[in-house]
Amino acid sequence: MMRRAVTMTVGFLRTVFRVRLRIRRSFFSSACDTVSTFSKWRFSVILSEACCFGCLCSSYSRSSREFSRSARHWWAFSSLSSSMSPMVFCTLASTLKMCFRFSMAVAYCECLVFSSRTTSKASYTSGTPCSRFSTSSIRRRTSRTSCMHVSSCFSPTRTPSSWFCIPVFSNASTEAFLRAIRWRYCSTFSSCPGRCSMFSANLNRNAHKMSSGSEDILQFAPWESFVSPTFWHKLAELKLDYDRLSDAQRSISGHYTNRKATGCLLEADYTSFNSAGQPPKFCHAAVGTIYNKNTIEEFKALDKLTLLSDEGKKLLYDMCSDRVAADASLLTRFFVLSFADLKCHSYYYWFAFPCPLTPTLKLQGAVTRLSDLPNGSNYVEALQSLAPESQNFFILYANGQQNEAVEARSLSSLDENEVEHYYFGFADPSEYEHPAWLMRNYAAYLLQRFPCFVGRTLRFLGLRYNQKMQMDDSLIWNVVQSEACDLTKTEDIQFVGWELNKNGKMGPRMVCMRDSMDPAKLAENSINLNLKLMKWRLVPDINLEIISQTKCLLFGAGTLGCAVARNLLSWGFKRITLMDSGKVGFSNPVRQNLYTHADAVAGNRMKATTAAQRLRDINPSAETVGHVLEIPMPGHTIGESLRAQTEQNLQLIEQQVQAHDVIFLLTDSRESRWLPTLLGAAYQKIVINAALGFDSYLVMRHGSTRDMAGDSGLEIEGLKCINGNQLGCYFCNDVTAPGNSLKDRTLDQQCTVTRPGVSNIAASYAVELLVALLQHPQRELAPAYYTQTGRQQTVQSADAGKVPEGLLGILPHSVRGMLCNYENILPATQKFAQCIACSAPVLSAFRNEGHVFLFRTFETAKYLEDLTGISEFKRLNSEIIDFDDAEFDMSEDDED
Amino acid sequence: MSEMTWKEFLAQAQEFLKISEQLGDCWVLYEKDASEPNTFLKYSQKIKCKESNDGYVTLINVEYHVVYSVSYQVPMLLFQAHRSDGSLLDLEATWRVFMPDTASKDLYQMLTQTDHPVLFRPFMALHPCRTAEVLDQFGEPSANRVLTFISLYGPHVQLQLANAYGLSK
Repeated sequence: MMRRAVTMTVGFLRTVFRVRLRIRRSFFSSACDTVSTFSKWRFSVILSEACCFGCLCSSYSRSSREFSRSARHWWAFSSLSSSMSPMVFCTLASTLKMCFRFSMAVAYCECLVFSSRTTSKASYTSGTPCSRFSTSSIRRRTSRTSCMHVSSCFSPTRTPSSWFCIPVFSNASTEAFLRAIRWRYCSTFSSCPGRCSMFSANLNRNAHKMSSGSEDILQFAPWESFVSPTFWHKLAELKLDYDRLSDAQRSISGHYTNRKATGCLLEADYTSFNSAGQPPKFCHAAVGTIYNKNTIEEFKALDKLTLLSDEGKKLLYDMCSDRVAADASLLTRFFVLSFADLKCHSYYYWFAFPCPLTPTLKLQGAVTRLSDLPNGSNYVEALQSLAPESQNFFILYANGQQNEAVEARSLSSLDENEVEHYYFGFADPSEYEHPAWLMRNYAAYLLQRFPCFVGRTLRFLGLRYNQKMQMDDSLIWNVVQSEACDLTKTEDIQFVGWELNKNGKMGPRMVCMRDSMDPAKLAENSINLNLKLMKWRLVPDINLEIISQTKCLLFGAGTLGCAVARNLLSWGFKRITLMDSGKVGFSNPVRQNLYTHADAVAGNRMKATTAAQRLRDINPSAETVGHVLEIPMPGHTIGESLRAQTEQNLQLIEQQVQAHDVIFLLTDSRESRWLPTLLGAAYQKIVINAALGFDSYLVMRHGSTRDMAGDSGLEIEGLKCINGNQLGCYFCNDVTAPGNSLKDRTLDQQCTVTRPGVSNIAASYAVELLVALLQHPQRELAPAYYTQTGRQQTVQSADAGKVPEGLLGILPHSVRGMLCNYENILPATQKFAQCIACSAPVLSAFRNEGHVFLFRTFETAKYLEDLTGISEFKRLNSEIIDFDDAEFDMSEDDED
Repeated sequence: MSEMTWKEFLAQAQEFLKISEQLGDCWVLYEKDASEPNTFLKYSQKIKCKESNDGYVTLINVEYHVVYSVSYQVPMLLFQAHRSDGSLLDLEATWRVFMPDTASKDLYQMLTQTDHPVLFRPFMALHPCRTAEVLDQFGEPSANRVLTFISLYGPHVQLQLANAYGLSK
């Protein structure tokens, strides 16, 4: 904010400097008088300093609402020489315009800039060239007296060039000032060409907020556009299917209601595009056009004033050619300038309700309610006889006698000689005491058609219904237009009517409909909502953010890979990378749930990339990648010809491991898990491993290689505790290095032959284990527990209740289950100092020698056994190890 | 019991619509097709509300649907609100507007987002799980339980029925 303030101030100073060069001896006087919480508005201080330089400046804020509250200064500068050239004003105006964008209105002789927003009290800093200008009187809230003061000081007509003021108003002050100016010098403003129309629009915007202080001039409540989402849906559909590149204008319709009106709304929805738009019940039609541009640049570059005046001329043509008499709804004309960014589902739009600037209507006497009229019931009766569809514009004929008879007539039956008997009725959608904007066109039309009405009192009846369809709130205005105005001379007529945007500025509006129109966004929101349901009552503290940000790398896109990936999506994981070298075969789709028969028929679909694509098909907001590559394995000798390729693959794998948070080992062989295990340990990643037997499975988390920072695990009676960084990996229980397991095997031994349910169970456990780990306060360093009784290091059911729980329950080291007896056990094992994948000698060899070390192990697995000293160990303990293997036979192959 | 069949719902909804037409209200019976539960009552109104704390009053349009819930066999109140530019109020904004004083924990049990059973678009909904229980508390089932339901549940989301509804009979 401060920086912007400074840049803006600099801009101002520059302008001022320029101006000063031109107006040499002019005298600027300014005094600073800011109310109350001065310190709050530092920017004001800067500005007042700037002001002390003897210059013009103003405070302004474009975006910050907070700040606009502070922008309640009003600088007045007097005694500009009357010979000051228009050039000066132009320079000044253009600079100001740059700073102020649309929020300014510049008249040539009077430069008024205001940022309107906020109510609260008006405070002025005033240059006081004349003594009658007393600050105190002005500081009083928009009272009548202060208006008088302002207007008597700022009298644009009397001394057009001797005054130059740049007020930055609050709403209150704007209103006061505008009311005063308009009240007295309205004609001056409307005679100013160009930007005056903008100014007037602002003026009228404020009109309905003003109190009833100014009886003389009838003010109107401006239209407020109210767009239904279905309008944008339809616009998008039309643009995509019909209009395409054409940006021709299109007729639309809108509707407004005078039943229980709120604001002064002109509504548009999908029916707006229908050719014969039937307005909804209790509503009346408005006639409109939409100019939907192809690019945002066209939208911006379009000359808004010309467009407004072109549309205004159409309105005048209708008025003058009497088409209005045939269809009065032509008086409620509007148009929309729009640009639909269909990719981002953003819509830029600007409504306008064109209206010719005609001489003002003066209000005669007080506004009366229909129910206050003598013989009010006669009027009500007459109005009730009127068909709802002709209630938009009509005439009430009252014969004016005692016990007067009232008759409702159509607009076309108007007879100029009976004007004193007429009430010009219209459906009034305004909830304010001012009539709706459409009455302006109505009056202009009547005065154009019957020039003899000029100078005569016309009675307008704004028909307003309440919820119960009573019309007691209807109002009657007696107005006079004293000056004639010929609307057929269209060249001389100025138009107003651009709607202000939400900030009260002259500018377009923008709405982002992504949340309701973008299917991907809809899906994302629904998925999140579904997950959030857990937060509501079951697990209020679950951190879904962590889940959506965790990046998972899956080695293997077979049965396990597919199932794990889908489960990850279910949990809201978004970033999933798959690695696999295989193609989709005919036997795959029935078990591997991301592939279809067609993938197999196609013959060349790679699993990794197909799976990645399918995951995005399922959830478009997922970021998935598939890499087709072979994982180098110990004991699988690499020929010289493949060396370069393997080198590349290694690099990619290493880089991917580093880029992810979690590594899943889901391949079909034992040896292919070795490299990811090693890399996971080397780069300190979370590693989740799932392996299948015929009717058994193993799911485990590898022990972390991170250092323990906090306390070690809680000791619990009867349970042994292994800290997260002491837990073993998949290879820690082995005393052989993985060899080529595909050698000397029959087909049923090579392909994993498993009960189909096993892979789904294991995949589910794998993902749930990860989620439990991510939600655990210690994450991968969380300890695991086991009972020492018996041979197996597992938690027995009796002790299970004692194990400390994370957010989602206990966090075991591994889950081993069997389908034959539907049993799970939760063993926990220590790290093995001679492990061929995660032990210190292996890790340091990898760190020191890198790929050279890796290639040596690919050559022969024996190298690993020698490196860790495991070969010696094996020789000594082979008997026992054999026994263990027989006890718990786990086929380590999982899938085809 | 206050559960009702689809036929009962339809009959009572039509009856309700008749009263509405007599009163000059704007309820509409929207029929997607003849099958269950593809017909529902529809009403929309504008509400002035303070969406944020800065005191600015915005105007929103709320569209209410009274739909038959097949699983709970009771009427269900769904609604959706949009601002003057056409943007929809999301769940959080809806809470702020309609239930500013309720603790968020309780909100989840009352007002949540769900897919519209007929239109298949996300809509805000008042949970139907307790509706039967609530309607049961009135002892004798009322002649028109759809009307009773709307008058009971509507006020929570600023949907007020005119008193005349109670007098019609």
